[in-house]
Amino acid sequence: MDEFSFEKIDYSIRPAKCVERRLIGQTLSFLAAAFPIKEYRYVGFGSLWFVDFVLFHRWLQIDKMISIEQAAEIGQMPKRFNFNKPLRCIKVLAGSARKCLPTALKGAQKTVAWLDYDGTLESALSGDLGVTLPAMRDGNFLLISVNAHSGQLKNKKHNDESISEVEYLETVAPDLVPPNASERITKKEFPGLAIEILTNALIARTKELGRDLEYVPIWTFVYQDGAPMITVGGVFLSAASRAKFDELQLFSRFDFLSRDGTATNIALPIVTLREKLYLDGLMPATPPPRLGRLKFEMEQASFDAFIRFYNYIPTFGELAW
Amino acid sequence: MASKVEVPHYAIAEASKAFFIDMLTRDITLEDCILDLLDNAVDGAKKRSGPTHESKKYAGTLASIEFDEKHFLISDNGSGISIAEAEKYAFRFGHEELDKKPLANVIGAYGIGMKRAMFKLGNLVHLSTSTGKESFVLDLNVASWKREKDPVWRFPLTKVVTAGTSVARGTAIRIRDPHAEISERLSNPRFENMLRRVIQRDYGYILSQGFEVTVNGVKLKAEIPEFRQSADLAPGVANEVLRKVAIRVKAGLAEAPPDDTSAEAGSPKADRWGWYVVCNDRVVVSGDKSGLTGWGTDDVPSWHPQYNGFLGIVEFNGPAADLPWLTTKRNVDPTHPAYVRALVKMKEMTALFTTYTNRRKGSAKTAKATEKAAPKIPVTQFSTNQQLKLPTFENHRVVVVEYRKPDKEVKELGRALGLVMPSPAEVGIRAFEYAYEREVK
Repeated sequence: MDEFSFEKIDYSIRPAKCVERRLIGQTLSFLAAAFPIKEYRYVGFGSLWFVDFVLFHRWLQIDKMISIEQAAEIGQMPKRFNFNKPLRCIKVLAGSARKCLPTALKGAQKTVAWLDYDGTLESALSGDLGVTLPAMRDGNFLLISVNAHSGQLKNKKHNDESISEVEYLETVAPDLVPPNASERITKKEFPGLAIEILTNALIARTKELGRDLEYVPIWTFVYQDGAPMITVGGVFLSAASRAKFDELQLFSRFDFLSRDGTATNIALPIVTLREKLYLDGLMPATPPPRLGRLKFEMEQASFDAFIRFYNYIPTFGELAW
Repeated sequence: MASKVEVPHYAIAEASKAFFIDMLTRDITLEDCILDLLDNAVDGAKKRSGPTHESKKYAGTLASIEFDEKHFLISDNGSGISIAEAEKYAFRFGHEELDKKPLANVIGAYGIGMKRAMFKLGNLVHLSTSTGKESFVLDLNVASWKREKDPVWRFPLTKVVTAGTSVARGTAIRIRDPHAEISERLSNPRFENMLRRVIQRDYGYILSQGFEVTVNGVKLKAEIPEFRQSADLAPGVANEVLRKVAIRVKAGLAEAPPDDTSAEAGSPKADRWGWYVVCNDRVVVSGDKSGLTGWGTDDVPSWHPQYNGFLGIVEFNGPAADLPWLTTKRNVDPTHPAYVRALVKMKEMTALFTTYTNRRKGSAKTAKATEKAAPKIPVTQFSTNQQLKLPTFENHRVVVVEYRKPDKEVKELGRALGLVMPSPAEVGIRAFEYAYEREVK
């Protein structure tokens, strides 16, 4: 990228991303019943705000944390990243993901790794996965977030000839592109297609490692704080651990997780603070109140979204320093 | 004096079932087993009476493959297996009939395909078949059968109907309790796509002639490669007959050779270039770039990415037992007389093409324009003899431009130019063209 994305977007105020982070934290909190999460190491791309690091330290007591940052390399701005570390237990590794991941994931230390790219499917699939997957062990968690805007498929060429969107996908993800892909490269359908390709890549490539290890999908999110994004994530399990995991019945515990990989669309209503406090006051409610009885007008879809995510929706305020 | 009576001694040479199964399934891959089963469906089609016009030879024949990690099912609407065939030779290991009369132009000549596939895939085999008149079912629990001490190897047939059956014509084989390593492969998301790709490639001819195959509900498309032909260029076609085998060698240009021939050049379609060997419509060798099809022998150079775009096809038609394929049907016997004869012509055409790719470097832009302007024609439309024709040019001096730049900048420029995972050389070429177009032209 010519500029760094943290120079374009203030990561501390992306509502959908914030909700997503909390949903992931909630899931890991629940799984702490069977997995020793607080002994885990967390590896992520903290940028300048390290929001996920703070959350996971507070909620999960993880105190071995590594942030990988390309811009922290000498000659760029290493001091800025180290200055902004909110916690002592975070180490910033300077360099590209491909360069730093082997170090970050070294050894038998169990890990939660969240590769939160701003980039395309191609950047996630080529190279970084090749370095990440062999380092995965029984009980490791991996999440990958990528841009799901269908524009990334266009204007691609090989040998000076344009190649179609599907041909491009097949170059980037050989044998992982479903047969109906050509119908799903629209703006609306592409996130679903990207999810399928990425999940299949994780399942297939884990099998191809030839170990007693299987990738089990847990999180499948679509959200949009600007560009459409997707997050796909799961856990690596040996056959023995798989049995223990299934006993937890994770998928019946949370409605935002689905065993068959159905995506949860984190689409949040835009409400004022007053409206939010009022609506919070009506929760929880089964069955939920009828739209007509609310004190103001609201779309059904927005109301449904509110009910679904009300426990996780952040409130942003302006502080008068 | 009593003479000693010689007690005859014998060394036991019996084959155990376990050993036999192991030997049978050892060197064949899962994909090849599945293709064996598909071959049986194709052969079943040939035996039917129906349209025999070349382009619709297999019309009306359907095969369906369905699987997940727990089961595998292949069914077809072919001619089915008669009771007599089942009792006498369909399940023997090796056709008795083969010794007596050659099977005319079929693919599943060696007969072991079905048994091999059954044993390779899993433990519980259920086969149901009907000829339209007769039908039967065969259920086999391989583990139990292995344990039986019955010295005569046989499988019981059930639900036998000798006339007027209501079961629809065709054969269905379902396998449950797949072996662990088979289940592992079937559950890999890549397997399904790869299988479709392989069937589309290896059965391209047959699919284009009316055979319909679906894999997990998705109907496959015939992919027939194409040669480019115009006033300036044309593929070579040479026909010959050696005893009972009809040999046809075709070679030419399918795509313009690449500008970027550096070591890091990505070539997503690379596996489709090279030589194809087809026996009775079945692709036996695809995209070969090795010594098997002549590369790197005598006047023919070893394969190099600069030959990407070369397409060669050698077709053998005749009685199955006389063709140069091996029992796996996925390879040829390079010493077979028909193949030896074909190889001479193949190498001749290959050498002409490789010389051309060197010759065209001096006028790469013109060459490319000529090549791309030539329309593409399916290879199946070439059957009569014609000369291999390639464009000629005046010679221009060409020099090598080489320079070093930071990796990051090269990648950024590649992205900005819309290139997909380009090699550094490709970025350099496009950058030069970009500048030339704007500053010089």
